[in-house]
Amino acid sequence: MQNIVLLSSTEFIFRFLPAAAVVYLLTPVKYRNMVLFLESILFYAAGTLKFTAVLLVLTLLNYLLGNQMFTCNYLTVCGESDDSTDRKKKVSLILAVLLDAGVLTAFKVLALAEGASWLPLGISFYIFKMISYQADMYTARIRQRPPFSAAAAYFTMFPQLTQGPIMRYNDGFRRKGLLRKPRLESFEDGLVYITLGLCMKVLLADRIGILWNEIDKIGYESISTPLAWLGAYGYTFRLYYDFWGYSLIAAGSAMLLGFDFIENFHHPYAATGIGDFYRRWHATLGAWFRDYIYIPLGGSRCGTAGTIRNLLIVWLITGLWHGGTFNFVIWGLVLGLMIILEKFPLKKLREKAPFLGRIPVLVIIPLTWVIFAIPDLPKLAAYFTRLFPFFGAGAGNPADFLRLFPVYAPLFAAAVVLCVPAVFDAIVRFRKSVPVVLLLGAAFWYCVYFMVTSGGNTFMYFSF
Amino acid sequence: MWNFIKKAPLAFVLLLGAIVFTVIAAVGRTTAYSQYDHDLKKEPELSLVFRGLHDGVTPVDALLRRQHTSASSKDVEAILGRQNEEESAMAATEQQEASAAKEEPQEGGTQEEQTPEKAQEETANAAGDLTIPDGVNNPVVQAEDYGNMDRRFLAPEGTVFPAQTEGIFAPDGTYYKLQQVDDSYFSDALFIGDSRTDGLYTYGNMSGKTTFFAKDALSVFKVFDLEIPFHTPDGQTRSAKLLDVLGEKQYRKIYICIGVNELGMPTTVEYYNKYKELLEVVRKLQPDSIIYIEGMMHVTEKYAKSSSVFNNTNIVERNTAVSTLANGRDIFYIDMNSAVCDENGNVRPELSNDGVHLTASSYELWHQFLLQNAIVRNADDWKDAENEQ
Repeated sequence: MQNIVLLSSTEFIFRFLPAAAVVYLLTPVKYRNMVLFLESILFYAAGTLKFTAVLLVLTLLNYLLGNQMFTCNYLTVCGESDDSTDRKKKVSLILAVLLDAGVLTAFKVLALAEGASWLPLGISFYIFKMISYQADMYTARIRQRPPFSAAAAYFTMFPQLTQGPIMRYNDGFRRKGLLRKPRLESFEDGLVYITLGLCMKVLLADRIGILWNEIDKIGYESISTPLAWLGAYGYTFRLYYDFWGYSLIAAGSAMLLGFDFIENFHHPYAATGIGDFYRRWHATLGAWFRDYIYIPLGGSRCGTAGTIRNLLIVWLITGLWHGGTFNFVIWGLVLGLMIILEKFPLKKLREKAPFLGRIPVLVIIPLTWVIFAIPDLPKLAAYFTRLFPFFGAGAGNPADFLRLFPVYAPLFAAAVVLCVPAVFDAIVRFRKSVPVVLLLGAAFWYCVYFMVTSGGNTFMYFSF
Repeated sequence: MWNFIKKAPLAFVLLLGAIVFTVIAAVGRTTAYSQYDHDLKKEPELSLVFRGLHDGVTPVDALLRRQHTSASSKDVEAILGRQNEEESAMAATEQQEASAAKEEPQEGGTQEEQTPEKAQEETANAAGDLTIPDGVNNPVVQAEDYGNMDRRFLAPEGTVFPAQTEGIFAPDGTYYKLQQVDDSYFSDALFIGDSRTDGLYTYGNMSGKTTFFAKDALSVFKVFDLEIPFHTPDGQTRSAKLLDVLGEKQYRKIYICIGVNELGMPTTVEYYNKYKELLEVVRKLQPDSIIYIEGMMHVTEKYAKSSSVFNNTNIVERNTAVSTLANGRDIFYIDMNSAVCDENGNVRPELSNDGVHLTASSYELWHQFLLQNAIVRNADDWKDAENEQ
C-alpha cells in the first residue's frame, strides 16, 4: 500500500490534496461530481491497485440497483405503479443488501484465513455507505434521481474512502450535489480542521503509540503492573487521537471541496455512561447501526426483552465489523452487556448520581480497548494478569515504568488536556484570532517535521 | 489581499511558511542539503529544511550555502591520518587480487572465478599461513532466502571482500580460540550498538557488570556523529559521543553490533567500507583491545517474508562481508544467531513479538552466548598504553 492513502503523509498533504482541490475547484460545477469520482479512483488505485476493480464493480452495481428502486418510487409517485413495482423494489433492495453485506463478509472471512492483506482498503466503510444509499433509496429519502456521477462520487469520495466518516447521501449530494458551494470561509475552516487532525495524529497518537510497541516488544509476561496500566491508557489515547485526528483531516479535506463539516467524535471521554460514549465515539458508525439495523429491528419499542435482543444483535455485528477474531466478538458483547445494564438495572442509580457514569467511561472503556488491541487470547489473558496481579503473578519490577513514564509524561498530559471539551471548543471558537492562527501555523510545521523525519504509522483502522 | 488574510488567516500563514521553506530548501539544495536525495513525487522541496533540522543543519546554514560536513568526520580523518579518500580507495583495489575468505558457499553464485586456494597462496607467500582454523571465529549463520530481496541493496555481483591480515600478534602466528568465561570477563568491556544492544543492556542481566554505548537508530554512518546514552557499570548514565568514550578510557574488549538500521542503505559494499573505517578508528584509539564483530541478529521468518530489505538475505550478506575483517588474532567474529535461530536461520517466533527485537525474557540467551564465546589472553599480552613509552 502506498503512502498516498495515508492522510497524514506528505504525499497526501503536499501532493494529492492540493492538486485534487485545485482541479476540483477549477471544474465547472456540473462536472464536479464526475471529477471527484475520477480523482478518488486515481487516489485509490495509486494507493492499492489490486482492489480497485472491486470498488468499481460495486459502485456500478449499487448504482444500477439503486436506480431501479428510484424508478419504482417515481412510478409510485406518478400513480403508475402496480404490484410488480413493489416487488421489483423489494427485490432490488434484497439483492443490493445481499451483494454488499455478502461481499464484505466474504472478504473479511478471506482476510481471517489468508491474512489482512486480503481485505480491500476501506471496504468496511464504502460498503456501509452503499447500504445506507440503498436503504435511503428504498425509503424514498433520496428525492432526485442521482446521476451515475453523483452516486459514484458519493461512494468513492477520497476524503472518506479509507476510514469514513460514513456520510449519508443527502448530506452532500442533495439536488445532485449542486447545493455544495465552496467558499473561502469554509476552505479556511477546512484547513483549521486538517491542521488540528494532523496535530492529533502526528504529534500525539503516533508518538504515544510507540509506548504500546515498546510494551509489545518487551513481552507482556515481563512488564510490571504500573507499566501495564500506563500501556492501557497509552493505547486508549493513541486510538482516540489517531481516529479523531484522521476524521478531522477527512472532514477538513471535504470542506475544501465545499462539503459541510461532519462530526465523527464529540468528546467521548466526557460522556456520562458507556451508552453515551458510543453515541459520541465514531458517531457516524453508531448512527448507521441505529438507523439501518437497530431501528428496523424495532429499536427500543419491543419491550425489555426485545430491546435487549436488538442491542445484543447490534453489538455482536459491531464487534464482527471491527474484526473477525474472537477477541472482537468478546469486545462487542461486553460493551453490549454493559449498555444493557446501564439502560435497565442501573437506570435509577444513574439518574440519582450521574457522575457515577463517568467512572466506567474513564476506567472500563480503556480496559475494553485492551481486549480490542490484542487478538491473541492467551496474550490477552497475560496482559490482564499484569493489570490485575492478584492471581499470583505479582506486580513485577516497576523499573520499566520508571524508565518509560518520564519519556511519555508530557504527551500524556497533552492528551488528557485535549480530552476536556472546553479546550478543543475554545480553539475552534477562536480560530480567527491571531494567537490561535499563529499557534496552528507553528503546529502545522512542527507536524511536517515529524512527517518528513519519521517512518509514519499507518492509521489503526486501516486493516478494516 | 487584506480581505483574503482576514477571511483565511491560517491559509495565509501556511502559504507564507511554504514559500519561505521552499526558498530556503532551494538555496541550500546543492550545499547544506546535498546529502539528501528525495523524491519530488512524494515530498515537497521544503522537506529538505526539516530533514536538515533533524540532523542539526539549520536554515541559516542553508541560506549561507555552507557545505555539509559531518560533525565528526574531521576528527575521524585526523585520527586515521588520512589525507584524502583516494588513498584508501587505491588500497582497496590492490586487495581485490585476493578473494574473500568465505566459510560457506554463497547462494546466487557470486563467487569469483579465481579459486580461493590460488589467491590465498599469493598473499600467504607475503605474510605466512593465513587460513584461520576452526574455533577461532564463529561461522556466519546462514538463513533461508525467500526470494523477496530487493537486490539494489546488495553488493554488485562478483564483489569480493579481501581477508584482513594485519594483527598485533601476526609474526608468531598465535590464534586464539573462543571459550567459556564468567561475568567478570565483561568488567573491562565496552558494548557498542543499536536498539538490540540497548535491549541487551536493559534485559540481558548485564547492566551492572559492563559498559554500554547504545541507542536505537545507531548506524555505521552515524556512529561518530550521534551523542547517545553511555551506561557505566556503577549505574551512571550520561550522553556521549563515541570518540570521547574511546578517548577517555582503555577497554580490553570491545563488542560492536551494528547494521540493522542501515539495511535500507545501499549497498553492502558501502556498509563494509564504513564498518572497516570504524574498526580502524577503534584500533587506533584502543590499540590493545580485543574487538568482537558481532554479526547482526536475524529477523523472524514472518518479518523476513514481509520485507524486501529487512530480511535475512540482506543481513547474512552483510554479516559475511564484515566477518572477513576478523583476523583471529585481535579481531574476532561471533554470531549470536546460533543461540536464537531455527534450522532455517530465522529467529524463533516465540523469542520475538515484533520480529526484529527479542522479548525481554529472551535476551538472556544472548548473554549466555557471549559467556560461551569469549577470547581469553595472557596478562602479559596486554601492553598498557601508558607504560609503552
